Amino acid sequence: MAHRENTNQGFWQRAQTIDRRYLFVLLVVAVALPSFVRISIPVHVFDDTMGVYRSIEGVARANTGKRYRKMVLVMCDWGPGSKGENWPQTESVIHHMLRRGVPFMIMGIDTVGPTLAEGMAERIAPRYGRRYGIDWVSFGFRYFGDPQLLSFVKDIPGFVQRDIHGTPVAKLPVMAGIHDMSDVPLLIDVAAGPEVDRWIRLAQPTYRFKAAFGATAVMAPAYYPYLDSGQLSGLLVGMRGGAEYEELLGAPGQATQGMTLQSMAHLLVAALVILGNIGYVVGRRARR
Amino acid sequence: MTPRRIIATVTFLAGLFYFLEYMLPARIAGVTVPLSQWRVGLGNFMAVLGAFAIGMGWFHLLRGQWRNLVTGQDRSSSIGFFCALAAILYFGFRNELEGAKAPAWVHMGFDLTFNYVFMPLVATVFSLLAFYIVSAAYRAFRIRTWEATLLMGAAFIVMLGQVPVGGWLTAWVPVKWLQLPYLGAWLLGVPNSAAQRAIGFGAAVGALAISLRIWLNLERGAFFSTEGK
Repeated sequence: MAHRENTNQGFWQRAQTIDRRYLFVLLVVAVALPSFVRISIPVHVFDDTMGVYRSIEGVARANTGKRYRKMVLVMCDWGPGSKGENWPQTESVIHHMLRRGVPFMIMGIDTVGPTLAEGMAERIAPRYGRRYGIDWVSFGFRYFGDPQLLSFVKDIPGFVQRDIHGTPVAKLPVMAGIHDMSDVPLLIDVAAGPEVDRWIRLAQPTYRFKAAFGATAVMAPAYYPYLDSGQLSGLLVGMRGGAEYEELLGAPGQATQGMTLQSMAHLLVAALVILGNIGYVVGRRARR
Repeated sequence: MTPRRIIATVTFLAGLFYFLEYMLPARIAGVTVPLSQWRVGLGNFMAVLGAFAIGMGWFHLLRGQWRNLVTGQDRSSSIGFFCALAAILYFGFRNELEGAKAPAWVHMGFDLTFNYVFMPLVATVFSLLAFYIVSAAYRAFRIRTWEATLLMGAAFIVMLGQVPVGGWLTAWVPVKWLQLPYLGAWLLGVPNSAAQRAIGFGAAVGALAISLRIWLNLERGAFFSTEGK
């Protein structure tokens, strides 16, 4: 009996101190499992994602029958490091806007994000008969500190002057009627950092546009107060936000697949934490 | 006038401009305040200054790597750096400047260096964090005290509520707001929101204080503290 008790205590002691290399292998197995075993779990759409969807629908409805259409500004302030989370978010909102014919402009303070977003728009636009310069435009990477933000919102054509192809703004049909930020009713900032704070702080009180934020899952908890106050009309949280938006569009893609993998990883973490705590409790009782 | 005085004066004037531009109305006693008209030009000027900063970054990076190459310190990394730099500059510039007129191998080279080397490498570096988070969570979440137990419970609910499996596991619960997605959303939207708001207020007051100190040249930074040494 004493030997069995010692063996059990040894097992639970080991359960608290598993070598992290085994944990890494377990994570790889958990994430790879859906590739071999078909696992499909329905995605629940949260209100914060719905807010972004409704904001774009609102712009689409407001533009109906108008000679000069209002535009959406998509700030792509992300790079390859947050690609897993921000790519599906960007692709989903661009897909939605191209489907509904909402004109948008792409810009960013990261050198890579706007380039990737342009590729997404070029790939999706032909499906809906949308064309560059008429339905969307890209201004690429711009050095964009607070003074530049203040300049941009006051005089958009004066600040950007040319698009990524060197075409003057005056020659772009999509920019007709766009003077300042009051002609941009919605800003969608997809970022790996706290970029949307500057827009809310410096520009939103004056120009009263709606702001939506595509955040990484780590950043998102800090932005729920902005949802409460109405300063953010919607929030896309990490890959989940991208997957929910794909669900709303009826176009499951990268994020929907990724959520299955993420579910496996989270289950593994939960199981390991439970295992470690059982070992901790058993060890503590044995020491008493 | 010493460089420090020049920097302090320029800093003060730049801050004063944006402060007055924001606070003053567009017209005072029928006279137009011209500050807003200068905002766009000033912003463009600062963008040009920012471009100088990028150039300086390039200069220091190249100088450091060249020094490593010449002195033999970590020479293999420097050789790799210069080879990668030459490749991506060559393919990048040709791909961009020639566009469709560039030969197929140029497009292939750009694809290889950007889409199949640079992008996966950066993504991989950040993905490594996932492994360390699993290991850290396993070791850190122990129910040593009541507070730690509450923290762990909240982490469990939010972690599983944010992924589809949380909804699947608790779909049988008859009371909707007790299901993991709704419980997780409540935790994020109510207690978390309150705490984040408090942190935000504190950070904003601190930022205001430090901004005032920098604007009025009351802050002793690295530049000023090394002057005269």
